[in-house]
Parts: sequence; C-alpha cells; structure tokens
Amino acid sequence: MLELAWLIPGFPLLGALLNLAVGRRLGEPSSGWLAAAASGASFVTTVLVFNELRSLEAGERFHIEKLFDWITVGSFDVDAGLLIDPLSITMALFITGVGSLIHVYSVGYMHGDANFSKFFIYLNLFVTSMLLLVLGDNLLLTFLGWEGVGACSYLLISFWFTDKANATAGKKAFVTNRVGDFGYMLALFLVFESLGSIKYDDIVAGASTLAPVTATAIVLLFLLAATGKSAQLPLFVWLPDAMAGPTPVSALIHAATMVTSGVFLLTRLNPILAEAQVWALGTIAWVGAITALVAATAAVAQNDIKKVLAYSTVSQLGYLFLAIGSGGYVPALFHMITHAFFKALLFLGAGSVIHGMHHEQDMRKMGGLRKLMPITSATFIVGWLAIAGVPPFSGFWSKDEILLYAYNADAVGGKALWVIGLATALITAFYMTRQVLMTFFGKPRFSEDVHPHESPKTMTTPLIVLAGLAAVAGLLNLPFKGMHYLQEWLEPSLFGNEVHLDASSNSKILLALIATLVAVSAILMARKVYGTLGTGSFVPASGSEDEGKPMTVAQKIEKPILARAWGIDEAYSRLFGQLGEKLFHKFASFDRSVIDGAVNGVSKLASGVGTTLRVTQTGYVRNYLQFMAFGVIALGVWLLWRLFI
Amino acid sequence: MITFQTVANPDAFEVPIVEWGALSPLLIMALAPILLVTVSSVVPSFKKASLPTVYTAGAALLSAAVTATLWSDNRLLMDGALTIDRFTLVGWLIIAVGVAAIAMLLDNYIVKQGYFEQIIEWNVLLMISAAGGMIVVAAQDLIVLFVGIEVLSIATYVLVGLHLRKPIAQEAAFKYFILGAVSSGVFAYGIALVYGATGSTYLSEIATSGRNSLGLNPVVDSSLMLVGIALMLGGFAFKVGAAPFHSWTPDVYQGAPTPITAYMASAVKVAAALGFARVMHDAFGEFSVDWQPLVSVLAVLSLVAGSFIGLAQKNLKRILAYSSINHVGFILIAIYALDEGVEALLFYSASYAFTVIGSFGILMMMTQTEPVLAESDDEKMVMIGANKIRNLESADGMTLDDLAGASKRHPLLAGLFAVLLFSQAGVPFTVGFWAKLQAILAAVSVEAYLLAGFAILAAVVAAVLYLRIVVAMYLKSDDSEPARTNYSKLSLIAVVACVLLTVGLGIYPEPLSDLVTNAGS
Repeated sequence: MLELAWLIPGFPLLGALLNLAVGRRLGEPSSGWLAAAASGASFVTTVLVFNELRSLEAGERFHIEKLFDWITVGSFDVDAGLLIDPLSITMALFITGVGSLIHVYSVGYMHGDANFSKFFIYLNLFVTSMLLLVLGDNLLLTFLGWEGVGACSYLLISFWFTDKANATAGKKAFVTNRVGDFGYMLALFLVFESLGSIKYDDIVAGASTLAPVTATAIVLLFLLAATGKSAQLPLFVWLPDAMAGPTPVSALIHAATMVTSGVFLLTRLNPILAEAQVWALGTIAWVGAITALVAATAAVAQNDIKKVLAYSTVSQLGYLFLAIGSGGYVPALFHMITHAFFKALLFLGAGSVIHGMHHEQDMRKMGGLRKLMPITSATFIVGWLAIAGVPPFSGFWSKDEILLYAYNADAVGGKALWVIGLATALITAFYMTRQVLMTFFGKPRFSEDVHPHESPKTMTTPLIVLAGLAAVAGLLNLPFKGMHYLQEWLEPSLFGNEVHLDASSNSKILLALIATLVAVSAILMARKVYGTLGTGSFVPASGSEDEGKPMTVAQKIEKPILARAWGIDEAYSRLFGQLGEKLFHKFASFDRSVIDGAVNGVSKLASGVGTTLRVTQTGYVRNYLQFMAFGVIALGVWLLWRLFI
Repeated sequence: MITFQTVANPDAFEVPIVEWGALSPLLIMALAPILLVTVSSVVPSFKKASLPTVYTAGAALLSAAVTATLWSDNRLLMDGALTIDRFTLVGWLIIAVGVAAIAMLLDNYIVKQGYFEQIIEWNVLLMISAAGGMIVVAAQDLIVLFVGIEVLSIATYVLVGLHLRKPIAQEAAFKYFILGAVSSGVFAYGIALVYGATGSTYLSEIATSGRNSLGLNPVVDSSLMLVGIALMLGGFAFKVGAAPFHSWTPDVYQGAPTPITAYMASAVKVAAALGFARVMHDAFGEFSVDWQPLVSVLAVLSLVAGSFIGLAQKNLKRILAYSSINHVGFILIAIYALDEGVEALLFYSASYAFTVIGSFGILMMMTQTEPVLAESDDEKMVMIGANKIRNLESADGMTLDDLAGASKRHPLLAGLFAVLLFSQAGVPFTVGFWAKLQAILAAVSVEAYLLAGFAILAAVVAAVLYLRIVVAMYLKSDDSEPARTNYSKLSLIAVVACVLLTVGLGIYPEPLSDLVTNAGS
C-alpha cells in the first residue's frame, strides 16, 4: 500500500487537471462533485496507507517512497520522494478528511457563482500542494508545497477580485508571506551548507553533528518562515484580512490546514530543534504565547462574524507555538487536530449563517438565529464549547495538555507562559460566548426584509460530521494511563526529542480544574455582559444616532484600541506608509538613475556594438570568403607560432 | 593502350564484414529516398497531398526506433570506418527525429506556398542529406567523414534553392554553395596534410602517431599536422557556423524555405558539431593544448557575434540565425571542455535541436502566405511580376513589427513560441536552462572560468534577442482579431511535441541526462 502513496497528492492534482480541461463544460454542480470525489479518493488512500503503516513495527514507521530523481547538479542531489511516517500521515489524514468535507460544503456555498469550476480547481490544487508540503521527503519538495499553498491562498483570498478590498487582502497575504519565505530559503541554504543534504532522513541522521549556533540560526530562520505561514507575531496581520475570501476557503486554508504548516515544519525538524540553544525554543514559546494573548484580546472587540474567528485562529495557533517551544510536540499536534475540527466547524457554521443572512457578516445585525437555523446553531454551539475548553469537548483536552507542558517548561519561563496561556483561555471563552450570544441568542436585530433560512443539506451535513468530531476528538490522547494514543503513534517521528513530563497526577488534576473553572467563569462573565443586550448595546457605528450616548459595559470592553488589533495594523501602515515610503522613493530613484542607467548603458553599448559589427554583413560572397580566408590563416599562424616558440 | 587492372588474387583484398544490423538506421535513411523516387515515378498519385510526408516521417521515425534498439551497442563497424557508440546513437536519434519533425513542417510549407511540384524532391533530398549527417556522426575515418559531409552539404545546397519561384532562395543557395565548396576544399586540404604527417586517415591511428611519436622529421611533420588541424578546424567552423566563419548563416537562413532553415539549424548543425567533437577528441586529443585556445576564441567570437549583431536585426529569421550562432558558442564551449564536456555537448545538441525546430516551425506557421501563384504550370514562372516578388520577400521577411498583435491573432502559436524562446534564453523550468547550465559547468570543471563568464554574459545579452520577440508578440498589440489558422495538424503536432519536450525536460531533465551519460568513452 505504501508504494501507492503518490496517489494521495495525485488524486486532487488529477481533479484539478480534469476540472481545468472540462470544468466549464461540466458546470455546476458536477465540477464541484468531481473535485470533492478527487479529495475523497485521496482521503480513502490516506486511510489505507495509514492502516498499512500501523501494521508495521514502530521502528519501521519511517518509510521513504522514492518517486524519481528530481534534480542532480554537482553534489546537490534531490529526489522527489514521499516520506510516510506517523507525522505526515496524521497531517494528511486531517487535510484530506477536513478538506473533503469542505469540498462538499462548498458545492452548496458556491452555488450560483460565475466561476464555480475555477473555485474547485484552486481548492484541489491547494489540497495537492498541502499534501506535498507534509509528505515531501526533503525541504525542497516541502518548499514547493509551501509556495503552492501560498499561491492558492492568494488566488482564493482574492477570488472575488473585482472588489478592490479582496484584491488588496490577497496582495497583503502574499507580500507578508514572502517575508517568511525568505526565512525558509535562507534556512534551506544553511541546512544544505552545513549538512550537505536537504533530505529529512539525512537531517535526522546528521542533526547531532550541527554546532549549537548553526542549529539555533536554522531554527530561528525557520521560525521566521513559520510566523509568516502560521500568522504569528510579527507577521500575523494578513490573516484577519484574508477573511475576504469565500468562507470555505477561510475554513480550509486559513483555519484548518495551511496555517498549521509552520507548526508542522517545526515539528518535522525536531532533531534540529533539539540541537539548538535553549533560547531558540524560548523564542518560539514566547512568540506563541504573546500572539495568543494579543490576538485573543483583539477578537473580543470584533463585530464581523468571520473576523472574530480569524483572530481566534491566530490566537489558537499561538498555543501551538507555545507547545512546541515548551517541548510538547504531541500536544501541539493534538491541539492542531482538534483545532482543525472545531475551527473548521465554526467557520463553516459562520458561512452557513452568512449564507442564510444573505451575505450579512455584522453580528450586530444578527441575534435570535437559534430558532431559524437549528442545525447551524446546534453545531456551532458544539464548536463553541470545544474551543472554550469545556470538558469533555475536544478543545479542553488538547488545550489542557499544552498548558500542562507550559507550566513545566521551566527552562523557557514556564510559570509565566502558563499564566499567559490561562489568560488567553479565559479571553477565548469570553469572546466565543459573546459571539454565540450575539448571533444565535437574544432578540433578532436584523431588519424585517431579511429572512434567514437554514442552509441546504450539502452544507449542513459537513457541519454535523465536524460537530461530532469536535466533540469526541479528545479521545485521541486522553491524559489517563494507557490512553495516550496519539503520543504513542507519533513517537517514531519525534526521535525521543519531545519532553516527557513526569508531573504527578495531582498537579495534573489541579491544573485541569483551574482551566475548567476559568472557562466556565469566562462564559458566565460574557453572559452577564452580553446576555441581555439589545440593538443599542454595542459600540455604535460612527454617524449612527447612538453615538455619544454613555457607554455600556460591553462598549467599555470593546475599546477602539482593541477593535484595531492593538494598533499593530496601523503601526505597520505607518511604518511602511510614511517612513518606509520615503525610503522606497529613495530606493526607486537610485534604481532609476544608477541601476537603470547602468542597464540602459549596457543595452545601448550592446546595440551599438551590434550595429557596428553588422556592417561586416555586406551580403557579398567575396567579403564572406575574405573572412573565411583570414580566419583559416589566423588559425594556421597561431598553431605554427606555438610550434616554433 | 588502356589496361584494366584486375585484382590478381581475390583473396588479397579482404571484403570487410558489413554489420547490417548495426547499420540499419543509416541504411533506412539512405534507402528510403531511393524507394520514394522509384515509387513516385511509377505511381503519380503519390505526389499528391501529404503522402510523401507521412512516408518520410515514418521512415525517419523507424530509423530512430531502430537506433533505440541498438542502445547498448559499442563497437567499430565496416573494418573500423564507422563506430557505433552512445555518442553516435544520440546523434542519430537527434537527426532522425529532427527529420521526422521537419518533414511534417515541410508539408505545411508546401501547402501554404501552393508549390507542389517538388514535393518528392524535397523529401528525398531531406533524407539523403540526413543519411550524410548520420555518417558524419559515426565516422572513424577522415575520408568517410568527408564523404558524409559532402552528402550532407550537397543535398542541403539543393534543398535551399529548391523553391524555384523564390529568387531570394536561389541567391541563398548559390551563396551557400560557393562558400560551402570553398570550405570543403579547405577541409579536404586539411585531411591531406594530416595524412601526410601521420600516414593514416583513421582517427585512432592519427591519435597514436601524435606529437611524441611523429616520424623522422618532427618539425616538418608536426607543422604539417598543425596546419592540417588548422584547416580542418576552419572547415568545421564553417559547417557549424561559428564566428568568424558564420557570415553565410544569416543570409542563407533568411533565404531558405523556413522548414529547410529549421533543418540546417538543427540536424545539419548538430551533425557537424558532433563530427567536429569526435575528430578533435579522438584524432587530435594529444594536440589539445594547441587547438583548445582556438576553439575558445571561436566560442567567444560566436557568443559575441550571435548575441550582439542579433540585437541590430529586425527580420525574425535573421534574429534566429544569429541566435543559432550564439548557441554554437555554447556547443564550442562543451567541445573545448574535452571529456568533461561530452555530456554537455550531447545534452545541448539534443535540447537545442528540438527547440530550434519548434521555433522556426512556429515562425513558418504564423507567416500568412497566400498561395503565391496559380497551380503549377511552368509558364507562370515568367509571370513573376514585381508585385509578386515583393509578396514573396515579405513571406520570408517577417519582421518584429509584423509580429505586433500576434498574441491575439494566433494565441496558441504565440504561447508555444514564447515557451520555446524562453528555453532558448535559458529560463529555468525549460530545457534550455539545463543545457546552458551544463555547458557552463563543463567550462568550470576544466577551470576555464573566463570562458564560463563570457558564456554567462553572452546568455544575458542573447536573452534580449528572445525577449524582444516575446515583447513584440504580447505587448505591442494592435486591434487584431484571431486570424484564420492556415497550418496543418501535422505541423501543429510537430511543434507541440517540441514544446512539450522543452517544458517536460525543463521540469524533469533526468531522462535526457540519462540518455547522454556514459557517452564520453
């Protein structure tokens, strides 16, 4: 079965090509179903490969399936091969699984779009690239996928590119990601320079020979790359804007899969992380913790149903970095999986609401949808409980695990990280409760000519499936003896580099109790603030008649500074817009006068030389014969001259 | 009184063993035209339509297929006159496949020009010339090599001028013939001097009677040898079109019917280059310190002449002619690098051949040619008026300005053309990138850093050559509407195959690299 692994990225690629060829002719909904089938086939293959892998001995679960020689230049020799191990297959499972559900959902969501089949080409291509990213057996193939998902993300964010805001959001995502890619490339060069290979098996074997300084540099460069793709400080600004894309895209790319690729990369490179100096890991942990807190507070003040989820995603990804920095690869992956389920669920639920509300995204104009959209609200509530960390929903188990690791990571500032993580958990439960209350509870605040309706089956079915998964995914890795399934499964990919906690069960229970208490109290707090509010209770839009009235509690919480994500976005625009702009103008004029001058000079010289030499081309045979004669004589004279000297 | 000398004792003259199996690709290419002439003179209907084309392409592909079956063969044939090794086989493959593609383009050209009279001759001469080229690639003996070169060249002179209604083609053929005849003379003189110095025309024997083992009078013998090398070098330089022996190239390429230009730029040039490399390595390897500087000078001059003079051109066929001179520079670099460069030489030759066939093919397909004159009839020849001639001139005189808006008139062809041009410029993800990279790496591996540097700079300047064409097609738009396509399916298949190879091997060059490895021995 392992030798058929190429089919995993092969099916979605085939789907994209087929849709490219005949998608327009197939039209709606067939082209969408074709794409969904391609993704589904890939999922089935992944499951088969997973079964095969499970039947192997633990020590043999690191299998490289070489496809072909890719590039051979000097000592630089790269195969195109797939690395089948627990880590890559785990990633592939939830990419294809969640991906397939989102394909199905999209068939309903994109109903009536003029570019229906194009959307599915991009979606299939995205899945292909993402699978290459996780399955590639070397850094270059991963980079190919890395750039592929970046390109697809760009294309899908600006899918409705006729609206300028969408196009701008796409560009912002692209440019911000380039900064991270720069880090990736430098790291890749550094790995090749120091190890002589970029294959993962060579990296695993050779990592221990790396000098700590080199390893630290590699880790920090890859961290830069990861902060770009996984939307961490300082490069997270693109993700909230990326919500301009169609909602299934937000769910698939900007919540469940692509944004986790930075975390995947750091996990894959755990042998190098193990060699790096401690402060490199500390940097990872602190970047994660601070991002988690900042983004969570920003989420409190958002009124756009998708923006809340976007900031929430940034915040949850921060947890993953926190986990990795604390040495907890398994908790990071555990939370990545549960997050993929519940965040995809929340996004698709939000999409369903937007669909039902005729493209209204402002939560101030919602309320009371519980009765009108029963399935959407029920599933959304499951997602809310999961992310808020209420036991026994999945988010509780995975988040608790991360906090446990942070608490014990004394080398990088453990207790402080734990406090920040806990505060983030509190705020998370708070803003998610706020969102649920504003959307599904209370009195309807939408105008009377809007008639919200439940979404079609293609959209609700994925919601139900994801809700089920979000509820029970905690079973993957329960903190009880003998139930660390995920941990045991991932062991062969981590080479003993993860931290093994020997925390007493008492402290485990205590921490879990504190976390639960925090979650429940946050929910109650949010209920107190938002449970009884009506139309006029929110920060008024400027110019509305409510402006200038005394502020309510909710308004005081949602201070304008929070609404603008701590002003980071503004700070960026100011830096690049004013100071930066001047600098860029300087560069531009240097470019025009010096560089262009040199280039133009060379081209003038070239065409000048050409025009001069052209005179030799008279068209007369006699002249040509002269050239030949002189040429032969010159050759002969040179050779004889050498002989007699 | 005339006496007929007879072989007194038949046993004294040993008839060499003829290895029919190993020679079959060559024999197919040489006998197929004879069969075609015979059949078409008996069955007149054979002259119609695409039948001769299908026949030629089929014969060429058969020859290529048989070549492929010989893949692991490595031995001398015909009492040491020819050799069959990886080097030969790659060369045969390039020539045979090239002939198939060119026959498909030629068919389209004949239809577009409405010029059916010489349809058989064109195909026959094409195959005969290719058979000559195959001899050149395989020759292990200077006399055999010379015969091959003449078969290759004489058929080509005729091919260039076979379009009897095109004065410009006549002029080109005549120029090519005169210059070619002189260069053949120079080359034959070189062979004579080398024979005088060493007493042999076999490459292997010339090699063993090299510098350290010359006869009684070392000074005289080695000066004979060196002048001989110089003359042969000049002859080869003419055949491959290296500067300063290149001056015929632009005129002849412009004047020749475009598919024939494609043939000269690909198969003829590759055959000559491979023969060149074989002689220089196998026969004059010991003198490499003497001739290597000369080859590097020829390379640099070709790189410079090809890229710089090309910039001053407006006519597309001339631009591509100069680009082919530039490519010769890279091929010479690979020859310069001796054993280190053999793989680069074969890789470059192969990738260059189908890129250039595709480029000229698309140029031909884009040219809007009305049937020049009414069907056949010799008296119409007389009726060529000034007006008609101008029409003909512009048919093969497509300039950059004529390309404006081509992306709208011929979106498919323009796209394919752009890919091929990018490949010629050496843009990554096309096969041209790997070819140039290999040639430059070969120069680096023999520590010819200056040469490598020149190659890189020339590649930059030459890139402008190609980008100008792309710019003309895509950025200088006019209000053109998609034009009526007047090209045949066969020609489209040929150029699409070229483009697919260009991109496919650009992304995944391994198959071609595998093909050319171990060709050094």
